[in-house]
Amino acid sequence: MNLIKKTYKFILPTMLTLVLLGFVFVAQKADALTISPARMELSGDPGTTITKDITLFNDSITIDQTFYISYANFEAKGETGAPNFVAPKDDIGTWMKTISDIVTIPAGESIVVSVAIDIPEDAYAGGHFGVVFFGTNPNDGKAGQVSVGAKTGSLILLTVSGDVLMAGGVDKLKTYKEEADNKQIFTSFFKTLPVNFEYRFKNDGNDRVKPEGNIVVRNLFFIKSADLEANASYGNILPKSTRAFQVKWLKSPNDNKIETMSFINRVGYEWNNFALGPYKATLHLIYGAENTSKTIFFFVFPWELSLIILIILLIVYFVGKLLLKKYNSHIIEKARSVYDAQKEVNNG
Amino acid sequence: MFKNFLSSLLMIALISITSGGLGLMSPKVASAAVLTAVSDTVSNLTASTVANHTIQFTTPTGVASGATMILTFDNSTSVHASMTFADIDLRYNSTDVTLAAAPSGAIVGVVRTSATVLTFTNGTTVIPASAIIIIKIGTNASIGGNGVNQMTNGIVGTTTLRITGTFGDNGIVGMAIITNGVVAVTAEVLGSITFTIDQNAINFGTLSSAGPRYANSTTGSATPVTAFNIQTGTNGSTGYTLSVQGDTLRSGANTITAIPASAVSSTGSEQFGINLVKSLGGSGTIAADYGTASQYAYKGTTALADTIASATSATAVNNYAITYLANISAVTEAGSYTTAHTYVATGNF
Repeated sequence: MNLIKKTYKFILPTMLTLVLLGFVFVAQKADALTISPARMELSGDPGTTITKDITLFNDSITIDQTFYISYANFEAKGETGAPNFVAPKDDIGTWMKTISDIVTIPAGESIVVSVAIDIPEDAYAGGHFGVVFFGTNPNDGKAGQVSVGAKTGSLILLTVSGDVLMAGGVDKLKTYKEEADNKQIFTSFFKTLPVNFEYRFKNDGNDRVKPEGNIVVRNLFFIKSADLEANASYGNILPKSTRAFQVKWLKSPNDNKIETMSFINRVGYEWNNFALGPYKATLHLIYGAENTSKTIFFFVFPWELSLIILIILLIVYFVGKLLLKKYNSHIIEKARSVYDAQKEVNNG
Repeated sequence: MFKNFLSSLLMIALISITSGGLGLMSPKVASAAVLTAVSDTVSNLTASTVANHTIQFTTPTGVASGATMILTFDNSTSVHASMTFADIDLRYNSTDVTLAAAPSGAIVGVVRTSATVLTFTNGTTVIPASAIIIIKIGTNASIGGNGVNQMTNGIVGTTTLRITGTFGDNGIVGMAIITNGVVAVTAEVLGSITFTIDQNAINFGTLSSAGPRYANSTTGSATPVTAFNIQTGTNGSTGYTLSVQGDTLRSGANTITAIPASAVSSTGSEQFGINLVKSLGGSGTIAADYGTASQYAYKGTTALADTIASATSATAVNNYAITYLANISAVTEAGSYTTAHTYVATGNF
């Protein structure tokens, strides 16, 4: 009986410990994957097959990982360039295939997956947008009230050759400032840089558009103050969608928002990002064989820096005036004494 | 007198505007653990081509005085024969470190040990645990002068960088080396995307109308706790989008109501939501409903993914700590509530 009691005392804590350790060991599972390229821009003819390689790298140095391959179409989600994935009932999401739908990558190793895209004979000319996903299976036998899966993928932007309609253009060009809470306030008056530009490009064609160009900022005297890349991220606009592009004019970035700085730091910030007076900004864009331009005006007045400069100027003015007055008095006094001395000599 | 003063001011203002426009007035500004959030951003991925590297990672242990940190490349990726400390920058958190050929006092030594290995030897400065370390190699190095010599990419395939040494931690990162990493039309470097998630299953335990429950990897918690971490980053110019797809907690036809817009926990009301907290040095931002402290929302469905975080340009890795909240009311139907969530990270187009 005593032995049973002792055994029970030993076994129970041991079992509890093992159960807890089991939880801990399950918790150590990590899925870490790097894929390249993250985006492919391809073109092909109807009836042909395009084959492209995607490299998968298992970032874990201890665990072999298995990933499941799947496909989807995508369209624009909002105006930021984010994709909205759609289950593939047709189009490019159903044209892609790999040799196997499952890949296992040893720890710290990489593999190359070849993706073949069979473009049908009757594929319409223009843009087709899909994604190859590499994911963990969320229902892979793990217990839990919330099973958690992860997948990442390579975007494929395919242009099928043929008569492609190119249509669209710049919708609006505006300037805005960002508040401390990242809220955008559209305005033409700024206290200091940055001056943020936003333009919206509408694509009414049936293929993606990737505009190139710049925003040139000129000051009151038509001297170029800045030449900014208009599409620095090389972003695309999908057919029948609009995309907003943001461009920032800033000379000296600072990690802190100006609203959170002290007065002296704000003056220093305005000095480092000096701009004053009216400015003209012209957006020039080229897309395909087309080009377009838009112009806006805005005004910058760094009042805190100006206040300090004004105070310094006032001090210089009044101190200078005082010194000048003293100097003049001194000169007059000196001249008078010379005159008086001369007069005494002449009289004497 | 007033006329003179006004005239002086106008003249100075005019000079200020002119010199500002000409740019004259604006000064120029000048214990062993696995490393986390490891990334190596390469300026050009074309095979056998010179490139700059920006390596970033978080060291759980830190770097002790006199400890070594060794970077080893493979796949024929090589360190320039003339590379010296002048071609390399080392920074931890926001502190720039002075480098030299050999360690001395607070100075860290760095040498090209072989064609594929760089060795850092710490001086007396202790780099603390959980520090974010950034190493720049090539012409992107600027601390104490601009770098001249760059790395040279290996052959087509995958180059791995292993980070080891007596500092105790170790890690690995891979990069795809391709035939032509530059698209002729746009001169764009094709990007890669990294995605890590550290749990596959989480639990709330028994839900109660008497208080909130927060999910974790064991049996849940009555106080807020991180359920799991997601790390993602990309060197693609368009940035990335991280979204979540899946249902709210469900037991047959019965569901726990998802929080449609950011709200605090409300005991006794049906609520299901998540909250994100960002860390590490990337430029990613959390979507509006998910990033307010102690507030939760959930807008994903089985059919549609909802964006929870994003970046609009190339960015170092960010860590997103995700907290899951569930509340029930006194009349919530009894049952076993479960769901499956899929987190999706892709580049933007």
